[in-house]
Amino acid sequence: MLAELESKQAFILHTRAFKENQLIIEFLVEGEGRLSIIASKGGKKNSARTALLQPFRPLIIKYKVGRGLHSLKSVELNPESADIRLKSKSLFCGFYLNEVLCRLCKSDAQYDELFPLYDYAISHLQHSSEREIDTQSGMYLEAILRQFEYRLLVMLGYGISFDYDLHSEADIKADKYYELLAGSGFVFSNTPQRAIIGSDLMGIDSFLNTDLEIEKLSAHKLKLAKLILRACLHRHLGDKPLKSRELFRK
Amino acid sequence: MSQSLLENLIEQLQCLPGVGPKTAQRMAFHLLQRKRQAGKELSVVLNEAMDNIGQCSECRNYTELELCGICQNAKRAIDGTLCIVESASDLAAVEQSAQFSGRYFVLHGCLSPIDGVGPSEIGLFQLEQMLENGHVSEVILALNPSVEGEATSHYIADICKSHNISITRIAHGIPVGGELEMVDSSTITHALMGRKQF
Repeated sequence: MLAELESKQAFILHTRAFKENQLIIEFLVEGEGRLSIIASKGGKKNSARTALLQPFRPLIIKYKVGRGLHSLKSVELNPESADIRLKSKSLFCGFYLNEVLCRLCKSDAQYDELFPLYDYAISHLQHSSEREIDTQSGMYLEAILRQFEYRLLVMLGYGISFDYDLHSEADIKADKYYELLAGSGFVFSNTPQRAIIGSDLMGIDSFLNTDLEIEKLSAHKLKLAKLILRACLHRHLGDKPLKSRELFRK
Repeated sequence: MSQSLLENLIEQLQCLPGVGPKTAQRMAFHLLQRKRQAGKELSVVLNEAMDNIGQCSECRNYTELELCGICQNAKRAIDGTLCIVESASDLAAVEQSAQFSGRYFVLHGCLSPIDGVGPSEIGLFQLEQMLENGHVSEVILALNPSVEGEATSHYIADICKSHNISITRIAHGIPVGGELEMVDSSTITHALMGRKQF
């Protein structure tokens, strides 16, 4: 007799058609990580199921573990979580998160901390969608993305330190200049034109590590964090650019 | 050993949607036994169609001409409405309803960055140029209610706003003949939000 399947919280990252009536769905599953699960299409007769099999919706799934692909046995909306409906720029940010995650995290690898990290980012994107905070300056959305990128890199073991000079191991000084070694950290620099002043680096990691407080964000530091994290991500993503960046019209 | 002509025919027929090995074999035998002439005519038309059918330079619908029949029809440009659909089959469905008399723009897909589909792949830069140059007064979004469709709608809405063009979206709701209890919660939410004075 088959053991009873466990119910797990999950988000859909991506779906693609497989054969005529099936889908291969990339799920982000609580306590597991990214899993490829095969499911039958909802089709016209089961629109409720089709509506559930969409990215960003908080789901409870049951699946049977297979050798390669797993198979989906049941799916329902998570009754304990508010439904997520991303709009406009928040939706584009959601696509960005999913693309970064699918590019950086391997399927079937164990990432315990990935689900809460994604859940945190998505619920803040929803918060932004509801209140249309992004229409003001876009800073709130930028902050959510930067926190997600930084925490994801740390979780994967690619984190960098903003506190000390990588070569001398001395603390970062406010009046000295530093250069970024992508994927490693910062080193003292003699060429201020191409470097970042220490006072700008201070406080970036505490912002990236603590929960969002929009009124405390500095636009300049946020922009700097974007450049630093983009360089770090580029090192791990390779030369193929992220397609979701094209969604943000200038 | 090389593949026989019959085996090759059966294999090639499987490129059609919904056709597996068994159906392909049935089709091949049917053509050989009963419809040889029809099979020859099919191959000629198929060859011509694959060589000559391209996309309309205005709306991206399939046509063998520079401009499709709808874009050539001057009457359809009078009211300045432009309906944006995901596929040529969606265009056919809207045309069949006989409720729309404006022009179309076919995206041939929706924004899906993970699949490598961005704005340029679905002709959104061409659409933007059309809105800049053309006489469009209203854009009607008739995209599928998926997350990708939603993202595409928001992207197009941004373009329209920057060109001061009015944008509307077809209503989402309960299908005729459907049962309310069988409809999913998102559709009911949309239907309630889009309710109209009765």
